[in-house]
Amino acid sequence: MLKKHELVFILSFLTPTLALFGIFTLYPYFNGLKMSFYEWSGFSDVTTFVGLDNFKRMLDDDIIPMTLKHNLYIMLAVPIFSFIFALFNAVAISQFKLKESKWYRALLFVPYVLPVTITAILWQNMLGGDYGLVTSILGWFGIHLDYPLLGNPDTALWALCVPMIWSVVGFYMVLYLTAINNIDESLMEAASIDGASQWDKVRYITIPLIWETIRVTLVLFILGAFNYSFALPWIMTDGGPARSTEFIATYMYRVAQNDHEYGYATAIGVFIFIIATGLSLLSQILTRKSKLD
Amino acid sequence: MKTKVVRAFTMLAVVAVFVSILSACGSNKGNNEASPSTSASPSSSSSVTPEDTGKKLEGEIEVAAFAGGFGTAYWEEIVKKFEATYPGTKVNLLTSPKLSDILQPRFVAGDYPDIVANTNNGKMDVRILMREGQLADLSDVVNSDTLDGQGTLKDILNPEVLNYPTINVDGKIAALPLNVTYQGIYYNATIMKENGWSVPTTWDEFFKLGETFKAKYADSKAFWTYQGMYPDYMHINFYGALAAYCGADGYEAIKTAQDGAIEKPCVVQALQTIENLAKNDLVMKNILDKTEVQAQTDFLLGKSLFIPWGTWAESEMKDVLPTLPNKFEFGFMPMPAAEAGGPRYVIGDYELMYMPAKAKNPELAKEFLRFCLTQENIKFYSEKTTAIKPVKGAVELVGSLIPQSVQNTIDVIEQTGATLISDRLDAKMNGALGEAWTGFTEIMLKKKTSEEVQAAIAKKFNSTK
Repeated sequence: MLKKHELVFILSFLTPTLALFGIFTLYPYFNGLKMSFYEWSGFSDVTTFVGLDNFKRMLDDDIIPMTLKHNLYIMLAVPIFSFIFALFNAVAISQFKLKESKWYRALLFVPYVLPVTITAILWQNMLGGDYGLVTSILGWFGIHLDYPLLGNPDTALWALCVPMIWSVVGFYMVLYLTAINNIDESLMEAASIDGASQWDKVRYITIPLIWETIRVTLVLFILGAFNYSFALPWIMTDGGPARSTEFIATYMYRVAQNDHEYGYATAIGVFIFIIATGLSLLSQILTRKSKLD
Repeated sequence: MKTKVVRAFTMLAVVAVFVSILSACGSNKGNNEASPSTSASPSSSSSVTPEDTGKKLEGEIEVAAFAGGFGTAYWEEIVKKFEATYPGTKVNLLTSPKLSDILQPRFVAGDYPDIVANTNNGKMDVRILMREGQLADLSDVVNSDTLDGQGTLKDILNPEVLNYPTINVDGKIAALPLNVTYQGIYYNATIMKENGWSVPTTWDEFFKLGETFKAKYADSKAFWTYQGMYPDYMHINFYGALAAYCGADGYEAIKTAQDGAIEKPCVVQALQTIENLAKNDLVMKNILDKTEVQAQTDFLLGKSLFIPWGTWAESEMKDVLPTLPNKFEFGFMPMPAAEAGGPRYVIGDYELMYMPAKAKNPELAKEFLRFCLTQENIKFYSEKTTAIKPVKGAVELVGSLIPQSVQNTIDVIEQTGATLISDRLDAKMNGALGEAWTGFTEIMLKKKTSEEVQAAIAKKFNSTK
């Protein structure tokens, strides 16, 4: 049983955090949930209660499944490629003990700290149809495009994945590298003596021993894919061409800002919240692994 | 002793935390106020004095103005002039390129400025604000006398202004025009002159010129370019062609979201003016990922003959224009007619000034609106912004102060007798036309026909009405 002064002491430290959490996190969540049952222009306090109409409307809105498909696409493509590249780089840098490893580390990490606007504009120019570096390189190999990569619905989504992967690989690489460096050197030596190949060491030692880190990064990958599905497409393609890079978040923003339908946009926001929470839980469950022997 | 110290400390900590939270939650109106403008210049030479108006005005107003392409110099100066003309009054000026982001939560919280001047292309829709009772009806202002004896404000404004959908909302005057912009087709006048081509007046002539152009330039220049990443720029073609093929009434029916209006065959004809550009390979290659600045720079570099654009062109590209290898000569044409001698249209829009219904000092705010519309200040506006106000005789009044391309545009509109149509649609139609922007790209990619795009717009319209 806590004494009164201890309770006051504890509360005095907890209150600011709880108050800030309540004001800036919980209140917006609950207010958002409330607004999703209203029709609201976002310009005044004039609101009309519409019950579940906004959610019903989502069922009939054929843009929503389309955007979810795009989200799913990057949620698979970006994590898979980011994971492969990040792990490959981390293993390469740590196991081959390259002289220039510090340089590679720094170089690969830079894209992660670049502001997303700069990444977007940089890649917009790299992928540009007229003078883009990527288009020119494709040209050297005899691949001449009818439409620019970002200006063609068949290629725009793929093209958007490139900067998404490019900007996160360095971050995950550093996480994996730290985890790998914590692996006991003797395990690797023992494996080498037993005749294990590099691949065997990665498969049977590195990956199992850094599994906890990988597990955390999988959640980050998925949530990151949600985050990246706003700023980059907004700047690089504006959701186009012909909605081929419209994501659920860009659509929500468009509904709020262009159509002035904040109630409906908030309902979409609630839906995004549910999906993100569900995915995060799912990824935790799927990656749960019994303790290593 | 130790317990007492701990107790005192913890109590102090709790009190401090609560006080800080309470003060953070309290009214922060003072913090939201814009910083006051610098003191008025006593040497201001405004010809209007309070004695002229016979009014005793005092107090403060807050003017919130969008800091966009026209800069903020005008606002800083006009505020000084106003304060000098009305001693004892004070204008707090708030300017920001993100004005709507600042004002929107303030409107929701009931903390209004006295005057709002343009929040960047309808980011805050005046019609919604008016219908939700947020804006004052300015009918009394437009019916009142100008401050310099030019009759009423209504008398000096261009006649179509007060019927414009974002100004006249359900019979009430929701806003006054800050300036007028015209949109239509801009062309490279040098290429036209060099070849001795005449400016097309009908869509048939336009596409015939396309064939001639292609025969001459093949792939070295394009007949048409546009701001491909933002296909809504093609609304200029679409709306102009809608008015041409459906007639002014038909366009009005579409604009006001009348049932069945969007399903008429004339809508397909209008879309075909875009489809023909794609079908006849008249559009510049590699434009679907181009931003407006990239596409417009191509046009200024002489890589294409035409582009859909507006009277902000010269001002928007003022950094690019001096760097061009050759001086660029702008040409403007209203949208082509459906048939020879048929009516022609230009798309027009006004940036707006309005007054919230709960402005703190409405009398002074209304006086500020009148003050901005004296002949001297109309001129002053053009001098500081290069934009033009929609008042009678504006070109004569400010002719030398506005860019050549704007003067030329206004002259062409007058010569051709083109009618101004608004591109402000009813909210319901606005949502449906999101499909049109997608459709334009699909037409350009030759993935959809005009008929299919019309069907998609109609489907969207019917599902959201």
